Amino acid sequence: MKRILAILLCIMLITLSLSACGDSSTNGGNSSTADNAGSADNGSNGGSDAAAEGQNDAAAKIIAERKESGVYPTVVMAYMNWSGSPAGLTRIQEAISEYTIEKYGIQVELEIMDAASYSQEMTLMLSSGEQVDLFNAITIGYTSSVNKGYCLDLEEEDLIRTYGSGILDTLNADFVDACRISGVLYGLPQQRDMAIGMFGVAIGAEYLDAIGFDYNSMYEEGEEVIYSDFAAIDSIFAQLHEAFPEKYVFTPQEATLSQGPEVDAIGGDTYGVLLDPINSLEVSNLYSSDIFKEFCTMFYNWNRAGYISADALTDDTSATSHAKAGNAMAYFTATKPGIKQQESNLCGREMIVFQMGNDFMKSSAVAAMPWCINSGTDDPAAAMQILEGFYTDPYMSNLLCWGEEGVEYQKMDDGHITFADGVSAENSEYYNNVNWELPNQFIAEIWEGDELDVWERMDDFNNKSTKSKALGFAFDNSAVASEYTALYNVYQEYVFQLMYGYVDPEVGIPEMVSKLEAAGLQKYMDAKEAALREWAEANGVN
Amino acid sequence: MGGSKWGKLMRMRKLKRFIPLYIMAVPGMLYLFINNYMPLPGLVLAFKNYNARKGIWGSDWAGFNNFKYLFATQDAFIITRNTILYNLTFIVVNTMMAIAVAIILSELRTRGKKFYQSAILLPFLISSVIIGYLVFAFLSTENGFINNSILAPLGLERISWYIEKKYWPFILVLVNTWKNIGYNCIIYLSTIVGFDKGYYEAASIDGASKWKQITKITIPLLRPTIIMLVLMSIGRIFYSDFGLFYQVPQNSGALYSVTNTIDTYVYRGLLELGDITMSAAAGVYQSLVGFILVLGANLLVRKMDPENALF
Amino acid sequence: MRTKEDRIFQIIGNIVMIILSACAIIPFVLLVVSSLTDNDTLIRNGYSFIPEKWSAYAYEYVFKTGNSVMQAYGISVVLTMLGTVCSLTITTLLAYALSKKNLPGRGIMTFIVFFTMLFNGGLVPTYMNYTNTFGIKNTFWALLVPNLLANGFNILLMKSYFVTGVPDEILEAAYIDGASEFRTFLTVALPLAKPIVATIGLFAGIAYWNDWNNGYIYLTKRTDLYSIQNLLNRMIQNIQFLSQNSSNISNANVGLSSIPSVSVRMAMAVIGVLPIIIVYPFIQSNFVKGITLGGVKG
Repeated sequence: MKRILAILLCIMLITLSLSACGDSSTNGGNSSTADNAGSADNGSNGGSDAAAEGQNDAAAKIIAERKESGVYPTVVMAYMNWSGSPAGLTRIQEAISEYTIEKYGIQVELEIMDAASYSQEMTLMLSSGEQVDLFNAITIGYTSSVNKGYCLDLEEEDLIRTYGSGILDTLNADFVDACRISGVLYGLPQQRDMAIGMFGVAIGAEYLDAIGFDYNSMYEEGEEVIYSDFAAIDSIFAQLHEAFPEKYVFTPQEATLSQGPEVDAIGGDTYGVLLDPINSLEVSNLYSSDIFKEFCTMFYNWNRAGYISADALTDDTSATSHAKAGNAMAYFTATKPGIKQQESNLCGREMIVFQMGNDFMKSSAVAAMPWCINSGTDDPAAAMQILEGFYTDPYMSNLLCWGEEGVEYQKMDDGHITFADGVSAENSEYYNNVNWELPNQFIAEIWEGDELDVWERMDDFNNKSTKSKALGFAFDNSAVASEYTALYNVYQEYVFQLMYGYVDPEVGIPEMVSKLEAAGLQKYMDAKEAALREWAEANGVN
Repeated sequence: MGGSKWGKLMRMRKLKRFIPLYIMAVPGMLYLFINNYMPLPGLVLAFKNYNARKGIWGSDWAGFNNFKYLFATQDAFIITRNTILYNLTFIVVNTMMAIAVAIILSELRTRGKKFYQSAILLPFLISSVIIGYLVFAFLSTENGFINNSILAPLGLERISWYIEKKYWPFILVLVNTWKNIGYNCIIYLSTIVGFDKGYYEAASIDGASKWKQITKITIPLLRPTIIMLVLMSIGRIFYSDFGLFYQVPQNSGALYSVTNTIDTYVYRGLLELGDITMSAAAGVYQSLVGFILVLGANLLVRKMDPENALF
Repeated sequence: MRTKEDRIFQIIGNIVMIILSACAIIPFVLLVVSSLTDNDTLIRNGYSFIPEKWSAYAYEYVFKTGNSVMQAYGISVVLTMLGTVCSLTITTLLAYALSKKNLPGRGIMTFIVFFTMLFNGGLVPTYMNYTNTFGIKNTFWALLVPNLLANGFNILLMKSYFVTGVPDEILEAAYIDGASEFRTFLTVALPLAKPIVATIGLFAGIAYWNDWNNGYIYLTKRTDLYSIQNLLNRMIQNIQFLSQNSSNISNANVGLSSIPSVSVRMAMAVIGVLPIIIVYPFIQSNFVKGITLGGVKG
C-alpha cells in the first residue's frame, strides 16, 4: 500500500516537472532578426514608398531567404465573427496562402470563432502557449491582454519599421499613437468608423407616415440622418403611442448609456468618467451626475407612459428583431455613415434615423479592437509582414473581407460587388460581416448598398468629429480588480431597472450610488484618476 | 502472522491473489490520474500573478490577492448565504421527493410505470437555457401563462415576476426539483429493486401494513445509499447549478440578492476581466470548503454509523 | 384488509405519478409548440400553447443552413454509444476492485477517487493538459475523453452497490469452485449488478449526449465534429454574450440580428432531445428486464 502511494507520488512529481518544462519552452520561441545589409530587392512589398532603403531591403531579403530554403513558416491569424468557423475557411485560407507564399514565402492559417467562443478560446490558447501569431483583441480586452503579457511590443528591434512600414503609411499617426500603453505600441487600429454619432434614434418610416410626420423635408444637404432634439422626439413618441397603442414605441437597450450622453467612459468602464470630455480631464461619478439623472428620468417617464414592454428587463431579443417583427416601432442607436441602409436592412423595412447628439470620438474608440502579435510567436517578422499585407494589399484584404471572387461574390457594372449567383447571406460559405474588425476594409471592394465613396465619408466623419481629451488613454485595472468585480455586480443589479425606467430615479439612483460606494467606487476612481494624470503628463495633455 | 519467512511467503501469495484486482483497477485509476490529477498542480494559478511570457511556473506569486474579490465585498455574505441555503434546501427536498417517487414507482403494478419513469426524466434532458425560456413563458409579465391565464381571469393584478424577489426562492426550488427528480429517483429505484423480497413477504405474513413496511424495511435498507449521496452533496455545497441561478432568473438584476450564488458572482465579475487567476481562486475556495465539510461530515458518520462512512 | 389498503395505495400512487408526469410533460409540449410557431408571433405574443400562427420555418432553417444537423446527430450517436461502453467498462472494473474489503490499499484508492470529486485543476490547466501534453484538440478524442470517461461519483456509487448488493458468500462460493477473480467478476458479480450497471450506463449516456462543453472548448476548426448540443449551445452562448457586451462591441446589434431567432433555438432544443425520448423506452425495457432478472437473493 505504501509502495503504491510512493509510486503515485513519484509519477506526480515527474509529471509536474515535465509540464513545467513544457510551459517555458513554448514561450521561448526563436525570433528571426533581420540583417540590415541591403542587397537584392525582390520588389515584393506593396505601398512602402517612403520606407528607408535599408529596411525595405531587410524585408525583401528575408523573403528571398525563405524562398530559397523552401521552408515556409506558418502564421496563424485569429479573429471573431458572428456565427463561428465558416464552411469556406479552408478554401479561403488556401487561397490566401497561395498568394502569400508567392509574395512573402509565408503560409497563412485562419482561426475564426463566434464572439462568446472567441473570448474563451483565445484566453485558453494564449495562456496555454498554442500557436496563434496574429490576433484581434476584441472581447479579450486590450489592456488586460497587455497586462497578461500576450502582446508583443511592435517596435521591439524596429519590427514594425522594418517589416510593416506600409502599415504606418496607411494609418493615421494619431490613431496609431492612441494604441500605445505606457508609451509602448502593442497593437494597431484598423480602418473603420472611430467616432460615434451620439444619441441616434431609428424609427420605422411607415409609422412616421401614419402620423403624418414629414421627414423628407428635414434632411440637410447630403445627410442621411435628421438632426433633431429631445423635444421633437418626445412629441413623435407621444404621437406614435397614440396612433399604435398595441405596439411598443421603442425597445430599450443597454448600449444606449454609452451611445447616448456625451460622456467618456474612460478606461472602458463607467466607474469614473469624464463628464465633459472635450474640455476637462476631471474624473467624476457618472451615477451621481445630473446627466445620468436626466437620462433615467426621461426613460422613467416614457416607461410610465407605456412606451416600453414590461418584459424589456429580461428580454434578450435584439431591438432590431422587435422592429422587424413589427412589435416595436423605434430604438436608440449610434450613427455613422451608412447607418440608414444598415438599420433598414436589419429591420426589413425603411428606417428613418434621427440624431440628437454630436459626432464624438471616445478615448477608448481607437483601441477598442486592435490587432496584436502574440508575444510568444516564433516568427515576429513573418507575422508582421502578413499583417502589413492585409493593411496594404487590396487582393489580400479582399480575400479576407469578402472571400473568393466568383464563388462568394461577383462584380457589378457600377463598381459594387454583390453575392455571386445562387449565393445568399444564409448559404454563403464565407460571409462574416465583420469587416470593421479586419485590418483594412477601405482598400477592399464595396458591397452593394453602400455609397461608392463611403470610405471617404468615413474618413471625413472621423476627422470632423469632436474628440475626447483623453483619446488614447488606457487603464490597467488589475490593481483594483476585486473592486471592479464588486462594482460590476452592483452595476448589473441596478442599471437596467434605472435605464429602462422601471424604478423611480429619485429612489433608485441614491440606492445604487450608495451601494457602489460601499463596493469601493472611490478607490477605483482614485486609481483611474492617478493613471489618467500620469498619462496626461507623459503625453503633454492638460 | 507466524515466523517472518513463513509470514512473508503467505503475504506474497495473498498479494498474488490481488493482482487481477489491481489490473482491473488500472484503467480507472490511470484515467483519473490523467484527467484529474495531472491538471491539479495548475491550482497554483490561484496564487499567482499570471503573465503569459513567464508561464505558469515563472509568474510572480500573488499571495491571497486573487481571493480578495470573494471576501472583501458587501456581496460576499449574500452569495455565500444563498449558495449554502439553497443547497441545503435542495438536499433535503430532492432526497425526500426522490425517495418518495422511487418507492411509489417500485410498488406500482400498472403498465404505466414505464411511461411515468420516462416522463419525469424528461426535464433533466432539457438544457438550462431552454428551461429559462420555458419559465419565462410562464412568468412573463406581458404574455406569461400565469399572468394572463390564471391571475387575470381571477381578477388579480399582474405580477412583475422578474422584479419581485420574494417568490424566487420557491420558484428556484420548484424548478430544481422538477428538473432533477427523474434523475435522482433512478438511483434509489435501482437500489430498492435489488432488495431481498423475502423481507417484505415475511412482513406481510406478519400482518404489517404497507406504510409500516416502507418505514421499517425500505427506508432503513436505503440508509447507506442516502448517507452516501448526502455526503457527496455536502462536498459540493459551495457549488451551484449555474444554469439554474443565472439562466432561469434571466439574469435580472432586481433579483440578485436572492439569486446570486458564488458561481454566478464569479461569472459576472470575471466576464469582462477574463482573469484566469481569479477564477482559479474561486475554484480553490469552493473546493476547499467542500472538502473540509465533507471530512467533518464523514467523521460524524463514522462515529455514528461506521459502516456507511465514505472512507 | 391488506388488499384494500394495497388498492388505495395503487390508486394514490397512480394519481401522484400522473400529476408529476403531467408537470414534466406540459413544459415540453410548450417547447415543441413554440418551435412550430411563427417567429414574429413569438416575439409579439410570447409563448403560448395555441399560437396565432404556426410555421415550420425553424425546422427548415435548422436543416438547411450551416452545419449539417444530420452530421451532428451522427456524431452525437457515435460518441454516446462509444463513450457509454468505455465509461461503463472502466467504471465497473474499478468499482469492483474497490469493493473487495480485503484489498490492500483500498482505503487510499477510494480516497484518491473521492478526492477527484472535490478538487479540480480548473479550466486552463485541464485545457493545457489535453491540448499541449496529449494533443487531442480538434480531434474526436476531445469529445470522448475529458471529464466524461469516468468520474468519482459513478465509481463510488457502483462500488457501494457491489458492497451491499453482491454478498461475499456468493463470491466465495465461486472461488471455491476454482474460478479466477476475473471470471468471478464476469459470471457472478456482474449479473447481480445489472441494475446499477444499467443506471450508470444511463447516466453516462445522458452525460455524453448532453455534453457541449468539450466540443465548445476543443473544437475550433473541426465543425464536422460538432454534436447536436454543441450546435445549439454555441448559438445560445453567442446570443447571451452579445446581449451582455453590447456596449463594448459596437456592432453587437448586427451580430444579434444575424443569429437565428427564438423559434430556431426552440427547434434545436427539440431536435436535441428527441432521439433520447425515442430511444429511452427501448432502453428502459432492458433496464426493467435486467432489474427483475438480476434480483433473486437468499
